[in-house]
Amino acid sequence: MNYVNRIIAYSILVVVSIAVIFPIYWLFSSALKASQDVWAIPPAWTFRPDLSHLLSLILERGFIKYLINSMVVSSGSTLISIVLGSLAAYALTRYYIKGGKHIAFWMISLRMMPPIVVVLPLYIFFTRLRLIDTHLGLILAHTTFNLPFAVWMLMGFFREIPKQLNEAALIDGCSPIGALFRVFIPISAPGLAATAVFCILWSWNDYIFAFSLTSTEAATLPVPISGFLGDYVWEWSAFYAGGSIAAVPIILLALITQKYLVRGMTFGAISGG
Amino acid sequence: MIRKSFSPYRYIIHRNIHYFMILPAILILFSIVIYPMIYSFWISLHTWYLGKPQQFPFVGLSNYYALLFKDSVFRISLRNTLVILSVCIPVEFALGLILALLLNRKDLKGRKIFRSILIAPVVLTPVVAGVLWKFIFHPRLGILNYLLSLVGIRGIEWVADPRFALVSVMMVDIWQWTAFMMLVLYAGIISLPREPYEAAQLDGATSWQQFIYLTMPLLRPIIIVALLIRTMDIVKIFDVIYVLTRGGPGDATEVLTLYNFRVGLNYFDMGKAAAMSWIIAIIIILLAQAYLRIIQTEPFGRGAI
Repeated sequence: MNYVNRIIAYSILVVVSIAVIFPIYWLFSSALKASQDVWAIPPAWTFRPDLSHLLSLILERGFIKYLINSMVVSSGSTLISIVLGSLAAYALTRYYIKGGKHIAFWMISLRMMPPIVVVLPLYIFFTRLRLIDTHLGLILAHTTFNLPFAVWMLMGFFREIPKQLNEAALIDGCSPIGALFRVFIPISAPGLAATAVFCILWSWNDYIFAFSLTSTEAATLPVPISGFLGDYVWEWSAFYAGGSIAAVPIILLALITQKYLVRGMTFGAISGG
Repeated sequence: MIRKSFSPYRYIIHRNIHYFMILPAILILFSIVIYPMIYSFWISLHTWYLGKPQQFPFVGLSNYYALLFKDSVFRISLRNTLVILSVCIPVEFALGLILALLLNRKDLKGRKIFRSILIAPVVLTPVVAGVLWKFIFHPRLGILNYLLSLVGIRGIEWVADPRFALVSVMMVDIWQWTAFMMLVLYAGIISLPREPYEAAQLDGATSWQQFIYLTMPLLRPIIIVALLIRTMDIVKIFDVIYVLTRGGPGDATEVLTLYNFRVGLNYFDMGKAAAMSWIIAIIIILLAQAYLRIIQTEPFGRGAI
């Protein structure tokens, strides 16, 4: 590339990166601003860090509870999805099952369904079963999307393991379950971890289920965060702090698993670079 | 393998172990997805208000008929969804493609850093993105109007102005999802075979010719997959619009899932809501079928399914 093209290329990348990262910088920096700096126009580019909003959310407004709810719900539904998903994926990839291909396609189609299709009937069922605003209810609701995803992704990872390994394990006296736990899961550990991260990510970011099926006790972070935007009062500082609490863990997790991001986001169709 | 005792039950379990392994997943999915969906279809054939649970008259397909031919808000929400699709997808695709091609230049430094920066919005919680942009869009206290005032543009009411509300929604979508296109296209580009390019270079093809006659055709299945996934996402879009505009002002940003949600959980008109969710589901099922057909027929490099 010649000199001029190189400058054009860099300037496109820099301009886009600034446009992309600025709102997120704004979220994180405003979380550390004192109230008067949050409102300031022209903006307070330099300011004295002030942790009072973060602390008051955690200490006074029960954000610890919501944070724990988010963790419990996302890890609960991820755990169910990974355990049941790896069993099903093993059976679907290593055995002849009548209509197995249809089962797999049927599952990934479920994952692509709009949540609204499931939310309305689940709302009715959960009201009857008294599962509204419980961890179990929300875990089950998230499993509707995470389990098909886990089965589909793990099938892709398991298929990359040579057939001979499975046969060797079975000949050496492993039961199929043994082969799954001693051969498949250890070999595809990175894939398993990536699948788990995607389940966590989906569950952590979900709003429509959490908002419809919980109110206070089992509410995950997005519910109180959207609540800061009231009809009459907007709690700017509280939102910036709460939004940062929700955003930081998930962005870190995504950066760690960058390698699998594309594969997860395209339902395994394209493996990332 | 020698067994100490022979038990018929163990034998049955052993012979059919694969069915037992797949059964829990199927049972769970059946009870929390399939059964609710069938139930919702059943409701969609009735008039049913949650406030009056005893009255459950069968009305056949009239909920569907009313939505498709009589409901003006449904038509507006369908139109808005289509507008978002027809603006956001081309813009995200074009921007994503440019970025992916730039990231593929081996002679540019710092590509990893750019990539990491661009990833952040893709994973950001949509509700957080929505509220964040609502503050950014604030006419007096928002940072966007301040920055625009520096170049002489003043007083745009963004989400409160019917002319700009949908534009605002689309801006947020483009901001959040352009990097998705970039990542997918970049992954596609680096997985392309080297040989055709070497042959083309020997034949004296310019880089523009290589792009038009090699990269684009080779990338076609990946491009289609990326477009299909984004299309499904936009048909399902809910969180960001719900916090950003609630569909307002008026019907300016009303979209399918948002209207569906309102009819169901605000008006409690369950029959109509269930019918609408099935209409959305059918759109998604058609798109998902196209997706499955492509990933089955096209080879996708190492991680192909």
